[in-house]
Amino acid sequence: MVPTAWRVMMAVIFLGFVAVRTLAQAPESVAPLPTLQALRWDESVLHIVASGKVTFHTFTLREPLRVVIDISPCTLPQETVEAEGDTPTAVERLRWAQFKEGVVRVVLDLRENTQYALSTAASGNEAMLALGSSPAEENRKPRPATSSAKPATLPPPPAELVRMEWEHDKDGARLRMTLSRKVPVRLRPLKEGYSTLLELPQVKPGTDLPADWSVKHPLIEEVQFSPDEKGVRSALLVRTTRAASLSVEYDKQQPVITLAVNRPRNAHGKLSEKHIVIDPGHGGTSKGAVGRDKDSVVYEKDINLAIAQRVQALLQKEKATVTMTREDDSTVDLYDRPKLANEKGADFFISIHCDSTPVPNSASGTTTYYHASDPDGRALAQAIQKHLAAVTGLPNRGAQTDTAIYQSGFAVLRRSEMPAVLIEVAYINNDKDRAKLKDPKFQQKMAEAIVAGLKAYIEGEKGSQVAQQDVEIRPASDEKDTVPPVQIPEQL
Amino acid sequence: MRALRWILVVVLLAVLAFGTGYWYTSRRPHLAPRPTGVTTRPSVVVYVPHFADTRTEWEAKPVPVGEGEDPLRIALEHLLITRDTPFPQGTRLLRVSVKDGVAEVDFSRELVENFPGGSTTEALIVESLCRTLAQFSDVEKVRILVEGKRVETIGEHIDIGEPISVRQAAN
Repeated sequence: MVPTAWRVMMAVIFLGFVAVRTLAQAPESVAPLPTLQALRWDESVLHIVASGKVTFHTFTLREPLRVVIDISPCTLPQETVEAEGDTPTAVERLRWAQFKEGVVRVVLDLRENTQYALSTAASGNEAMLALGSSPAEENRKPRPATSSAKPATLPPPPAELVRMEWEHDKDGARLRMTLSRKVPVRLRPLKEGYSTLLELPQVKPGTDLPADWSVKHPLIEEVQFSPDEKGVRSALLVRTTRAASLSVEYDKQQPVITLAVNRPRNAHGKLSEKHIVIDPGHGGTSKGAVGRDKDSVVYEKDINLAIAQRVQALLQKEKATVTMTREDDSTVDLYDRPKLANEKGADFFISIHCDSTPVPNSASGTTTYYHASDPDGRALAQAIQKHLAAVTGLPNRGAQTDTAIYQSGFAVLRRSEMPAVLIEVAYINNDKDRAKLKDPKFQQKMAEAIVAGLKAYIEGEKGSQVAQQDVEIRPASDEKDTVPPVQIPEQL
Repeated sequence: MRALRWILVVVLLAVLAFGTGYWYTSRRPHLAPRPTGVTTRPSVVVYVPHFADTRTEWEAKPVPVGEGEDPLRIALEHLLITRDTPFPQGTRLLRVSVKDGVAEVDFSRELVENFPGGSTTEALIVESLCRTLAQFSDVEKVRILVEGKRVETIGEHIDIGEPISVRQAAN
């Protein structure tokens, strides 16, 4: 009897305990995990909001390129979550799903390699994934365009290049290109010699276009058209026999673009007849960039002056007229430098600098800058850069527009009225570059190359093709198969 | 009678068991109530460069903005101190105002005095400022001041004598 009574009592106690626990827990066990509540684009920032405190874990996967954000502990809510705001162009698709129990996965399929950063709000229920710019977006304003799903934002179809005709006289040649609609084009000097690329990013070749459109002219060595049927990367490569001024004119009414190839400004006569202003960058209280070795420090202003004085001596030897913006370690106002050249009516302005980057040894090489799209400055920069690159033993960074550095350009170039360049000889915070910059022999070589480049701009390249007086259009020839296709380099 | 006693014992024990169970459950902390609404805090973005030889990649860093704070000021103050900022060490924001689309940004003298040199570095400073300002729809141009005064340039390369557009011009 007693054992049975005990058994009944124990069973009742156990059942009672279990019943109470089950009853007490039942209402709460429905929503123990936070849910994904919102996904919202705010320009290039994706806000991810959960209903409670969660952990965000992000990583990238390749092929296809995607950014993954795992949210845990988290579930998808009963109601459908919809992404708000416009998807940035860098993102092809935004998707999310219950990856596994307690983990919600958000995936961004990217069109191209894009920087991103994830930060979590202190409340723990929100994260912000900020997308940086991709290489293709370098020159774009940071505001992303609206979603590509909207037809209004789709790019227009490429223009067709219908006709190309050369016009010429003894001073220069002009290529008239007739298109099916107006498009913007861009001239970009290449690193190799006197090669310039006319980029036609929204142009595809018309059906009746001949393959070869070269022209015989003393200024022009070669012209190659590199068509892109898709109308994305068509380009025209122009190689000239000497430094030449290339410019583009847009017809106001018709969709016609004219590429003019001419002898540049002040490129007649002899170097000895010219007046050159040499501008050693910085000076006095403005030390410029600083190069540090274990036991010594070198200032940019001193290297600039050393090279500039060597240029001065070489030019004087050539009987040219030279004006220095500073002869010694004195402070000169930035705007006074081009002002001096303008007041003197100088033929050329050459500024000599050394570059530096935020992180030591992150860049190396030589660059010659010209202002904006000034055709004469570009020609002078190409001539000087060609001669410098041949002797520096450092990477050739090419002739570049100063608007590639920043839109307003360099003050000394912008305010000079004559063909003007700014040479960044090398990087003073790069160990290899700095060792060269400090070497008097290297300084002399640089000065000689600058003078040789200037002389080539004025008098033409030594040993270049003999000027041909006959000008004729060469029709499409059998040689076209032997001509290598134009390799369009990446953006400088 | 004996049966009644047993029923009484069972009832008492059942009450005891329920009581114990209730006590056990009630001492566990209550789960937080489920939030009813969604609140997202506004944020701004600052742009910092990662320079590598011929290419600069721009990282966008989000910065939360607190209630009552000026997003423009928060962005600029953060830009000056954030990791990888191209701005010279010690540069402080003294004043910022926007009038007729032109943001007038006044920096402390360290912007010029501590500028480490190089046209590349100078371009990165100006561009990080412009990219950061471009997210504000009321800002079209920026005039950079140093200690309240107009300057021609930060490091003797780039011309900032006139207000410059915060949107990059295609070249």
